[in-house]
Amino acid sequence: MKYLILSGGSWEDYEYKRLLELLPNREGVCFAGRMTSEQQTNNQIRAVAAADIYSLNMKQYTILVSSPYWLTEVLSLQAAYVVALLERCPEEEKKWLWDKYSGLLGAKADLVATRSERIYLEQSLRREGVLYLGGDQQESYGATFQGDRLYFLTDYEVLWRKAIVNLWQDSTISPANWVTIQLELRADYYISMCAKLPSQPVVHYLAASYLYLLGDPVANRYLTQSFELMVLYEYLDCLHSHFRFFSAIEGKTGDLETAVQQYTITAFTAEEKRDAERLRGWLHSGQYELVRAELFRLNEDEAAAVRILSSLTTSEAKLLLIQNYIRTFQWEKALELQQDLEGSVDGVIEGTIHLLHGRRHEAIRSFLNAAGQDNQAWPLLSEMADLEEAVKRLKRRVEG
Amino acid sequence: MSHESLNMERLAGRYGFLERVGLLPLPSEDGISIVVELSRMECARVCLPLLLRHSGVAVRIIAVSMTPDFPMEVLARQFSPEEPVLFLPYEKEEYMPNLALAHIETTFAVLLEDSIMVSPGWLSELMWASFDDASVRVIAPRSSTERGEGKKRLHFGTHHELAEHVSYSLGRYQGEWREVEVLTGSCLLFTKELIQRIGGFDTSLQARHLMIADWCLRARQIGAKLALSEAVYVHAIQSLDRYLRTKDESKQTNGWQTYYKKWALESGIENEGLLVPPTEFLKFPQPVIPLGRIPLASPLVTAIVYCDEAWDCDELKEQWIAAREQQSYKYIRWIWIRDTLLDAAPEFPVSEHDVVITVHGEDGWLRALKNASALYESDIILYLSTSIQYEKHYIERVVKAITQGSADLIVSLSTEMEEAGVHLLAGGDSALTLPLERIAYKGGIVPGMISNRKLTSRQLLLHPNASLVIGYIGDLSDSKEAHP
Repeated sequence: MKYLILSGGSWEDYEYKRLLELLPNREGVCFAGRMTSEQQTNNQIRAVAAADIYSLNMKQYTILVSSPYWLTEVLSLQAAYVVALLERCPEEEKKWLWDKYSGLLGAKADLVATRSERIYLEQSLRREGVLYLGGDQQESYGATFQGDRLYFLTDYEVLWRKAIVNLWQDSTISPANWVTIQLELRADYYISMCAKLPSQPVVHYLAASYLYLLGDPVANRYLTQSFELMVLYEYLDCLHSHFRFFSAIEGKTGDLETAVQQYTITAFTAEEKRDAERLRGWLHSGQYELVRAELFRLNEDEAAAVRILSSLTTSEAKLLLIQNYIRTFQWEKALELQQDLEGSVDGVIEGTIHLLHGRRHEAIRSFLNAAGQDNQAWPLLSEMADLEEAVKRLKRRVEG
Repeated sequence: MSHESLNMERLAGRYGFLERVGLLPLPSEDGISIVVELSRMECARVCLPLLLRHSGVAVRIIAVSMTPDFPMEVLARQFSPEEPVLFLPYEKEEYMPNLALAHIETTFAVLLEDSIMVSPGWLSELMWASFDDASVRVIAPRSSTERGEGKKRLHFGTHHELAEHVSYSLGRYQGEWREVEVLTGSCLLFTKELIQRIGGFDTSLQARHLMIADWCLRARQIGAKLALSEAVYVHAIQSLDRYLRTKDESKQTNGWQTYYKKWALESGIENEGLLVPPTEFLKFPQPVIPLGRIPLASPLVTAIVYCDEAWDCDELKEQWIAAREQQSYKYIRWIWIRDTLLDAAPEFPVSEHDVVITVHGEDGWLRALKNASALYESDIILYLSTSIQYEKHYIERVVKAITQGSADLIVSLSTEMEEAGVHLLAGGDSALTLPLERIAYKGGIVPGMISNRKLTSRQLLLHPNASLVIGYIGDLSDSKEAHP
């Protein structure tokens, strides 16, 4: 396999050099940007000018992209596979813009990997196949020769290689068990931390989160511990953040009626009360899959909600699915479903998609339509300018 | 600093240099055998080249497949026929390390898992411990797979970093080792003599680290010291598969239960992970685990052989020994009761697992015969006389009769006895007496009393306990051939 690296800056600042060395079946690696000839020789990497990446036969390439501002190129290159290396927003970038386009990049990628545990958890609630490029294990979990050099691999480096190989393989032959392994590793780590730091609610909450993602009902015990500690320390705003989470755990591993009751306790605003009412209605009419999917969405686990809703055929389920697609940045899917169901589409979403595919005029038209008569188009057009500026800065950094 | 100490230091420095760069041979004339347990292909394809590269020229590797699906042929193709690696494919119902260790020819052997990564200088440093102290017969490097004081968890990104660390450690701690109570890790060096005396690894313990700990305790029972090298560290590659939720925890628990029972350790939370029993429990002998091919379904038989007539003809003795060797049943521990008054022929070689009890005079001989079975635990005990040339399926048939029937004690009747009827053997007090040379019984029971048939003869009888269920089988053995 050949790899194309689309970085967030220069080669010197590139932070995934060791991961590049460990890439499986490394037939060739191209770096979009400037590298000295010595750097190219030492690292067995060929530098390609950003403008020349279109000359590569992308059907043979996997793209490793670590800045959301490459998204336009990623979409137009149509590589065999896309791996998004998502990062926290750098200081010099606008956070809302960075987060939005990171979300879009994550949704488009075949694999998402990140060194931020926060992003890892967020993405794990949005989609399948997310890899955490970090860990707390000292020991080695693999060994591999690359040329004459023998590398010892950490847990996540082994999983990195497995995840990449998994891209090329038929998932029915080689199921993506690396996802479970990593969740188990994280759960084990936080469970051991709970014993070391028994009075830290955050540690218990994280143990509960990983156990929840694994579908383990033991999550309930850790969440209870965390919630009790929060109350003990008088963090009284934890009803939303902690108590509501019980309803998701119960929805996944236990009793739906209890789950709805638990959600209802945390429903304060008019909208939340409406949601609770709706859940009770579905529960009474036996629409349990809708109850479960909505409980997951209300707990920000859209990945679980999408898994349920995508197999349902009722218009109610499809409307919920659109909401989940929008929240997880799967906007093309959302538009398609919207078009089928309602005959019209959301202009802002449509405009953004035009923009990302390089259709500037169509994007402006969509934004103007979406803004209506009262000059609401300005923020959308301003976002367009911000994005274009961010892309220019990126290219300058890359080319050094 | 005196000149003498300066010289010593210099010499040590020079020696250390030669050893690190691989210019010194191993401290063993016949080289060393390394048995590698193959279970993870991704590790094995790295482990074996490192062993070949960093263990010196006098090394022989026996790579054994631990699972039926290990792609041994694929691995074997990576090595040229000139390289000293022998591949043993997986055999069902065999514990492959025991099978491989049965054929060790070198004085020292190493057993390691394919997850172990070695670096220059690792091997000779381990071997030297048993030259420093002859009673050190087991030594292990530090690694993350050891439990207790030998456990060392280090992070290395590359083999180069590992080699640098070990080189530093060898320079600083060369020649240092400490005695330990137990070892459990994935890399163990020991002497051939030791493995032949205490046998192989006990697979009933299921978990590898328990098998190693058990083996080490058995080594201590015969006076061997266990040592942990201060200087050598080997890097273990952990498996991520244990994080898959299909992990078989019940199997591990069973292993611990068996271990606790075997070593009289009380199971419970307070003893969790405890591997070493109190010293007094180390005194109770544990059975030898036979090396080589084991008929797993076969019980261990202790055969007590005695000579009941003067036997000074070498030819006869050889014939008898040859007949013994031809027995179709193989899972036998032989105990030879030898009275030097009666058995004047020179001693014959016996296998390491067997026992020769030499006495002088009839009293001692009779006492030894009566007590021999209690000394060695086994499933079946039988007595054999050198006056009889037993047919080759004799022991097999006896084992079958005991394991498949309900009798506690089996008598194999010769043709004459069958014709005459066993009741003829009944004594005056109407109690049953049986010829000892045709008796076999279940382990763990007291068969009865042994006495002389006549005052002047060494032919022996058994007066069986009345409570025992006695079974009879026919016997085709020839009692005349041995004494033409």
